[in-house]
Amino acid sequence: MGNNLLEIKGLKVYYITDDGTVPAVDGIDMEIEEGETLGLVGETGAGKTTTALGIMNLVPDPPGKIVDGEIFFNGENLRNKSREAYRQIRGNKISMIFQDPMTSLNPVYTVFDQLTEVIKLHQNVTSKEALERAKEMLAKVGIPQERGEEYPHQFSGGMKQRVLIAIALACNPALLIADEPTTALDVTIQAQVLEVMKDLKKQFKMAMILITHDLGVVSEICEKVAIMYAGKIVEIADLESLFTNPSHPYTVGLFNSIPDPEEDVTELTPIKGLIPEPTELPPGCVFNPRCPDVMDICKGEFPETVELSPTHRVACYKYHKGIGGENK
Amino acid sequence: MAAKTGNQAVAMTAPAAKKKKRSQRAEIWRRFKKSKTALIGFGLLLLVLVTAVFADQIAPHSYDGMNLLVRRQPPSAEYLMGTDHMGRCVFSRVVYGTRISLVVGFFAVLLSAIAGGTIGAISGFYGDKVDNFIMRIIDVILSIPPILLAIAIVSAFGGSLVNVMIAIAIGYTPRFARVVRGSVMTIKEDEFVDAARVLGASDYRIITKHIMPNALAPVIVQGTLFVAMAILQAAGLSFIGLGAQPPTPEWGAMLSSGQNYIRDAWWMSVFPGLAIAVTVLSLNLLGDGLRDALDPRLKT
Amino acid sequence: MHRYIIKRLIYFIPVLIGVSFIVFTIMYLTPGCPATIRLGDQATTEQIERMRDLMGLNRPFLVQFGSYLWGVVQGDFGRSLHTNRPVLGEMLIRFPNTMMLSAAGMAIAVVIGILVGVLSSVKQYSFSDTIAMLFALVGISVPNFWFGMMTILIFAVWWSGAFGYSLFPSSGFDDGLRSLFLPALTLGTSSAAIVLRMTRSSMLEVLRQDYIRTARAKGLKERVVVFKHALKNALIPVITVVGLQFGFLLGGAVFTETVFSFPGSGRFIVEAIRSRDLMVVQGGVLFLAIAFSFINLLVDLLYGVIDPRIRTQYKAQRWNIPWLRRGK
Repeated sequence: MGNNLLEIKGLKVYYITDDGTVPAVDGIDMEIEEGETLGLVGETGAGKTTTALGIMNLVPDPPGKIVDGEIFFNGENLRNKSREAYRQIRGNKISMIFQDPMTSLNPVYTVFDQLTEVIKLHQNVTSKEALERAKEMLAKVGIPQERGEEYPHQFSGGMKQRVLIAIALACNPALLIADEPTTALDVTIQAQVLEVMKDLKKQFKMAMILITHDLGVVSEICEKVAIMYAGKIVEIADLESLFTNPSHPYTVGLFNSIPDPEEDVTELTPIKGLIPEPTELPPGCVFNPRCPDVMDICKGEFPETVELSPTHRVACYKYHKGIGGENK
Repeated sequence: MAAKTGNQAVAMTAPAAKKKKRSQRAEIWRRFKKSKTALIGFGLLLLVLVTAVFADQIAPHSYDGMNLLVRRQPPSAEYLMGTDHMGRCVFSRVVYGTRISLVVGFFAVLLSAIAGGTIGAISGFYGDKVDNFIMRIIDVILSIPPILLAIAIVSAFGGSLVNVMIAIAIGYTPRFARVVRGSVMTIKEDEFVDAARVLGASDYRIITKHIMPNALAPVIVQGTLFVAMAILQAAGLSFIGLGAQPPTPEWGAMLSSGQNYIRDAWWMSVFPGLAIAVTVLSLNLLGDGLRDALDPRLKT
Repeated sequence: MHRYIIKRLIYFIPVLIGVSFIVFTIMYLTPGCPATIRLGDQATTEQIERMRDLMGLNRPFLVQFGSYLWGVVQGDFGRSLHTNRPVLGEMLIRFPNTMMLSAAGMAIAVVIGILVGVLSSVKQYSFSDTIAMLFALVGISVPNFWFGMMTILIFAVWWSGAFGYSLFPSSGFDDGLRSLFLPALTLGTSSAAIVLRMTRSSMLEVLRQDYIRTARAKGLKERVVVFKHALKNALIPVITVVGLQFGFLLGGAVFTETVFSFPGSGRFIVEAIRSRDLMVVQGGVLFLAIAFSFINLLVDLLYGVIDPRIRTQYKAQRWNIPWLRRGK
């Protein structure tokens, strides 16, 4: 499709260590349109962060390596870009904010320093203009301007995350990748930060990949959702389809494990089993040891993705015609 | 009576604890074998130790036999490292010097480990005012560079190897105290100490049986590195005339004589220094390797 | 900031007292009675007793210490037993030379140590890293006086044997910087090794931090990330080490000056040892110890300048001293 801002095809990022090779991201396909927000959901270790790092070309090497796949941004294949060209994209056209705001700011430079740095790096402006822009950004994330002269340790967690958002958006990127931006924050602060993000998304008409393990957050802010498990995307759909018609057994399990606040719950219903050791993944469909609907064919090869609708794809043999039978 | 049963109960958990310790030790040994630096260091040190122990067999001549006819001879088949200004065999002197340096270094550090360890354990265990007081004193002692302190002490009481040992020990006692205090303070917070206390163990027993064994690791690592530094210090003190008295074949003293003949008899200066370097290097390698083996988290 | 300075200065005083106490105690415990030495073997017990009273040797320990301390504060560090000249004066004449030597040694140590340490950390485990680590290990294992003798052997003896002149002087301080080179190199090598190790491990620690990841995500050049973001943080513990090194340098100067016949306070003390001039030795050691503490004080203050966290920590404290409350 021609109007996709970001298109990932068959991306594989492996970590090669002495103890074995970890296929952190094992062949995923993903598309995002301009201004669209995609939620990337999965448990810890599913490969979400690695995907993000792969897009940014920040995979730590050693031991990580992008071994295969294409990442198209605005029609260009990022994998063909030189390191210099990639640097011009980072922070500028594609930005990223990370999970732990407490440690993501350099303690020996002021907030203004760290903001103006990224502005001066990508835009041809004077120091004065950069400072003006920095003040604007602080205002947009709801931080009083005078505080820009202070050092990170003088800010709370929520404020630090907002500063990081300001830094990420300072150059008006087309795509923001947010890796669990609210996980490390208190619940009340979470709501605040999410509000800021929703607001800015509208203001800047920005596309976003929101990495999270919280389906509640997803329902608030995302238009599209991709479910990841052990390096594979097992289901990807628009928000409504996913919530009304979750198809992959893993997705179903995730929804089932959320306790209903209206009912009396004495036991939680987790998904049975444990996430597999990354160096010892089961053959065939990675989820098969834990799947309540497992069939023999699941242990052979990983199932190909099947379209349930133009905006809903799933990788499960249940939906392969002639095998599982039920095409809901 | 209650105290006695308490101690018995603690003793009953000992076999389980011992089993954990044995597998811990196996793990440490495995990491140690993996570290190349540790093995090389250990090997070199072994070489040095063997030289010290079998000095009589290895040295072809005595260390104080003067033969004025062969003064300042360059290295040859008979005199592997040449002769010094009094006609003595440098090789033999270097070999015997091994004993001196190792003994002085080791015992100085052992002394300071015992003294410093006790002080540090008391300071760390009782905390608060006791700790504050002791640490202030230690800070003051540490504000004098150890070499200067040693110079002051040895020059006051006369130059001899024993005085050197004592002076160096005094210099390292505060450092050991700090190391042990740090460990004790961390371990003190561990739950098994609370458990022992609840079962009625006395302070003394808690310190000796529970805390000290766990605090041992950093003491061993630091101790090894301190022995290296102590050997350097002892050689230095002898170099300026404060340690070994002639004709003792101490390496530092040999370098001092070698200084005057550096133009004509370079072998008098090169070999004793190399001996010091090799010995100290082996200890440093070993110390580093031990540190990596005992706490891999510290490894960079 | 002012509060930090004052607090640090106040801390200096007990150290001064303590150091004087240690030196005094050593002198007090020295075998042999100064009165007997003064009067000679022929003196009667009566004469010795009277001399002891005269010299104040029968007063209680603390009183003697008190008067000693009072003398020190006024600049009386004793008199040379041989020349009867005041020790303080003799030390002050020669101390500038020692300072120059130590400063030169420190400069060499810091420049080499930090540079190689940073490069080593960036290229961890490479060949050059291994060589650097080896050099560092050898640097702390080699006695510095022997290293000095070896440099003399190479640059003076062998060089002049081969080429007929001395590349660098091996004694005295007549040739300005050229005379300083070999002794400074000798003195600085073991410190360089320590600074190298510290810088490397500190950099490795810093490079692992989240804010470095943020810096890269901004699209900054790697060189900027390393030298601007990482180094400033990594240097904080290195400065402590450098400050501590100064103490070892002052001590090491004793040996280096002896080897190179350098006219400094270190060699002066060694000569006093040889001639058994105990007053000079003790007074000299006290002098150097005080100098060392003072330099540590300066280093701590420098710490406050570099790490903004320390500055603001003290700003927050409320001291009810009006003339201290400037600005905010």
